Amino acid sequence: MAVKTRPFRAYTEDIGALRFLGEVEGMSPQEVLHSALASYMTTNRERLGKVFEATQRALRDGDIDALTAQLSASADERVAALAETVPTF
Amino acid sequence: MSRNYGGRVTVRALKKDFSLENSPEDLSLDELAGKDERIATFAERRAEMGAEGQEPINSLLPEVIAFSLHHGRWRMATWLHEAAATIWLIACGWHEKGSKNDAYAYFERLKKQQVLMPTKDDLAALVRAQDRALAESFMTEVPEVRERALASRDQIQTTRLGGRIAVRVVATSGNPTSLYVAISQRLFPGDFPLPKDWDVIVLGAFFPDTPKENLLSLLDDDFKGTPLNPEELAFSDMIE
Repeated sequence: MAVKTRPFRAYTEDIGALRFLGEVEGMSPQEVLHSALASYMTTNRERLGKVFEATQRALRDGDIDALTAQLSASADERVAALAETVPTF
Repeated sequence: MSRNYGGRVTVRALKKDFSLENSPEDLSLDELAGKDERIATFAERRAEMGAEGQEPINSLLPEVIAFSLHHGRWRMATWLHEAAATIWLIACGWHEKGSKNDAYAYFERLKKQQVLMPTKDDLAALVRAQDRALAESFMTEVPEVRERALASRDQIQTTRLGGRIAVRVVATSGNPTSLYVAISQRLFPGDFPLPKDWDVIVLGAFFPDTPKENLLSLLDDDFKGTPLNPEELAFSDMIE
């Protein structure tokens, strides 16, 4: 496979796992990461495709409610993050 | 400090201090201003809050740095929520120095009861309103910037969708035409990352004819041969 690389920061606790899996699977840490990413893409392809298609449809139909619903799928996480920024006493 | 921030009134203040009913939190600030002159004053003058030289409300310090807005003898406590790019109207009371019902004593009591600041319900209403506004801006701004890119080939168009998502867009002059879109992974204003799936939503808007099966192949290493900003991801597809 292509060997064009770029510096990349990984979590310290993941470095050991990348090396270990590389040893076990006979792959380099880069190949382990690439394989894990490919697996993630496969798992999420359908969900992401649905979001993509629903957005295209909402814009084509001028359906603001549907587009708002798409954007609001992550609302709970954003509300929780904002709540952390409100002073408590 | 940016003063071009939105204004919101907490649900508690709307119901208790302004006696508004029937889910007033779902009304826009303009609509609320039409119902109460004090809120109209807040809507008009919120940008002045916290201006240089203005003293914060003493009784709420040090935990809450809030500023008082006057409407006749009415006093309104306002709080700048930087992370949400919002100025909140958190309480309103009648000013009568020395009275136990004085506005500033009332604000202090609300603070002690821990009901002064915006709640999760307030934040949820804010996020709902922001998402709606962003959806509306997608409908107009995405086609506009796409059209600009197609009209001025090879020239990078920069915009911030709904004031929140920074994108750079360029269409190539060759045949076939490719459209490149670089999306900042930072949500403006503030320091929050772009929420889950919003990259995909932006892509759906910019690439209306790309089949969903090709979504993951839109990802690009650079922005039409030029380096990406550190906080950007780039995508491209042939569009004509």
